[in-house]
Amino acid sequence: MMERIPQIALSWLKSVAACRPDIRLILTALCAVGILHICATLAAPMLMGRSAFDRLSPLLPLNERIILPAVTPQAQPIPFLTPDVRYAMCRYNTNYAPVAITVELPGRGWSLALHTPNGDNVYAATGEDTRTTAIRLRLLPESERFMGLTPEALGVADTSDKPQVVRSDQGIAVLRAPEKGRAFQVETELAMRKFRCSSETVQ
Amino acid sequence: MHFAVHKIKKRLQAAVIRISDVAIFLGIVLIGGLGSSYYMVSAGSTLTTRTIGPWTTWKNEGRSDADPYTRAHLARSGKLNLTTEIAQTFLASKDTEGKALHSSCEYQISGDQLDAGWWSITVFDDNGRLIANPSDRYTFTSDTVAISPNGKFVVTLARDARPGNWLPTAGAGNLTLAMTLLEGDTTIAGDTEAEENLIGLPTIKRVDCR
Repeated sequence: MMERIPQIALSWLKSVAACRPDIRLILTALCAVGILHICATLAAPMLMGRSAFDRLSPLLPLNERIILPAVTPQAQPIPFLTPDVRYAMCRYNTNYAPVAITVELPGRGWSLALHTPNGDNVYAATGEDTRTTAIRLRLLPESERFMGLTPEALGVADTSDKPQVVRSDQGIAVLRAPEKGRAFQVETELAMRKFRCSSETVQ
Repeated sequence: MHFAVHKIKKRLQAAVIRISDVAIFLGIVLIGGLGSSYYMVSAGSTLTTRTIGPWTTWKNEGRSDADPYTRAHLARSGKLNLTTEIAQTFLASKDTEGKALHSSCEYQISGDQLDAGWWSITVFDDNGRLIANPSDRYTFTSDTVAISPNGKFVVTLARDARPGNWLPTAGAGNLTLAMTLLEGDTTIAGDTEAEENLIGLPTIKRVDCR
């Protein structure tokens, strides 16, 4: 059988040659397939369904923290949203004023992530077992623009700790708190209430 | 007269052949271009996904430097996943033998206590919806799963109640399991990028079907 493979391949090539395929047409088709493949893939995020940001936006007021009820089949706003954690979310937009976010991650399984409308995480942090992680973020627009005078420019000595600056025009800040069961529900919710998200006043 | 009709017939035949050639060309281009894009966005390839046993994850999900296939996949699925820099979400819609997970069957998901900082296993239907059940059980985490004295855990997927870590599947039809591993010193068996300190993802064994 193995010895016959070259003969079979040769006869197949002969039969293909007998059809006189138009090489230029084949190459054109391959190029067209490639171009269409690239265009379809790049356009897919805009054309295919609704992203998580699109689905969640109507549920979330701007620059305000919302603690979502525990995820159940009746309260599952997006697919594959796991009920293993409780969610607190804040839809932010920094186009008019910077947004301040403060949160504490008291332990393992806790996390804070900033999701852009494309689904990118521009910032993500997780809690640790041994200590509480305190996070202070100042969200600014991606492009440089005037966002008010600094305390120094206003003649005020600023001795406070500077928050970490993250550049993002809009998105959703998501605090995930591990669901440990009913016994821990109150403790978890109290810790989630420390998550603050608000737009700063521009002076 | 007869000659003129024959000439028109010939021209028509030539036109039909030309149109059918163009139609075949366009068909091949459309099916090839759109089909290959759809496949790469839905199922991925070794460039974009990592498969370990029945579990599959997208390597660059949620990252700012994600490739276009991963971005399209994320937008299409409507998921809100953490970046793979701090967490990995594996999905499985088949058991370890490659048969589709279905609610008419019972499965045992067994593994060692993972070294991940925190992990969870959740069962969904094939559209990513949670499965309603009277027990309100949808997930087990490293905090809530019962571990046996030898350090292993077994989660049972079944329609009817089972002892231990039971996740009800009701009559959901095809199932999808999601396993989230949150940052830790996690190295995954089969991951050629980091084969030291191997741990294994759980196996999914079909026990019985109705």
